[in-house]
Amino acid sequence: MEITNIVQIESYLSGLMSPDERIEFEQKIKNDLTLQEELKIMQQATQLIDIDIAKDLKLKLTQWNTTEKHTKPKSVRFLPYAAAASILICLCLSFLYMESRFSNNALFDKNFVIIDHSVRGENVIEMNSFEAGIKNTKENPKQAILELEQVLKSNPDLDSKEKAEWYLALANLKINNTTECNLYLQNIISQKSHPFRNKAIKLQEDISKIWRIRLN
Amino acid sequence: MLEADLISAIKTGGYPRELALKQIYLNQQLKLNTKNHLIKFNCPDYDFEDLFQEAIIVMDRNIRNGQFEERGTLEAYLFKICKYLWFNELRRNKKHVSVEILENLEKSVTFDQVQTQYDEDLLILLDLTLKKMDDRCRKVLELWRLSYSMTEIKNIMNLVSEGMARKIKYNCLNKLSELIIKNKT
Repeated sequence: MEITNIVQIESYLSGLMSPDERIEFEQKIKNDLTLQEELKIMQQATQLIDIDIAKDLKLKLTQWNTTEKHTKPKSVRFLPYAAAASILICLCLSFLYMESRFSNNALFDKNFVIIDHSVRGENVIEMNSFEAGIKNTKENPKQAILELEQVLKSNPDLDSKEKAEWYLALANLKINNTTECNLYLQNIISQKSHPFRNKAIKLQEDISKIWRIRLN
Repeated sequence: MLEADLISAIKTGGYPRELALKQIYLNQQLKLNTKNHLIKFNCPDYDFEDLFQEAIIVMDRNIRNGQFEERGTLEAYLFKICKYLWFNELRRNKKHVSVEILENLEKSVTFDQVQTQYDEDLLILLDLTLKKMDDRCRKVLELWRLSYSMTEIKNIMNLVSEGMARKIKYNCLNKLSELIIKNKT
């Protein structure tokens, strides 16, 4: 194909010719079969290039899409964090609640009451060693254990023996010796007429609650 | 860029065209609006992305060829193309949608200035001609069709002069014509 023909056809197809030039060129085409064929070929050539351009643009669009997805700042999703934080707070609060209700200390405080052990006729203010042992259960449980074990060894009356067993269970609970505490409680529960039997059953239930496995 | 600037940039071709197309394509609001519009006609997500890309290509070609009449907005024009493409897709692949949707779509599709499917013979010819040419030729012809100036072509292709760019363009165009003639016969 002649370069001059290419230039002319190109100008004609892209609308760059003036109206007069256009009319003149169209007249030329009518009379020139070769030029007609060349025009058709050029039209096809531009069509092919256009398809190639479309394919190229398609590739670019996909690339832009991928780049945009990768460069787009990821928005922070607060919901999962908020949910996790809420669960954590709930767990902490539950732990504190359980701790306040079912820890050894809490169970001790719940069950520890000083029972008046003064013997009728004697001066109430003048406490005997047994009463001191009971008192010590809270302030100095280790000392209380020694004193109360001493009481048990000295063949006390039934009332003193039963009280000593109960306070020994509590003193062991206070020092977190739950195994020993449980032994005393088991002993109390086995005695059907023991005045602290019901309390011992309740305390043993509380000690064996499932969440205490984590607390202690 | 404003809408008029976008259209003008596409018509100008070259780098401004690429920027304008990128801005249109990555406009998330435009994409979302178009998507919501097509959802009414049962267009699923997985089809939409392809359809939207195709619509951008058609829009680009029509603006460059002067087939886009600036009477409505660019967004409305894209909606129109998308609807047309989706209608064609439903018809061609006999996708499962209710008759009501298909009828509604058919009534609202008034697009007639677009060639969305290429002739099979033309695609074969593309493989036998343009794709057989070297990369430099293909690139120069593409840049020329996209209205890049000879100075821009010279710079992009690292050529010595604009004259050289012009010469390569003519030679490549001539070569392509010869390949077309050869493959036609």
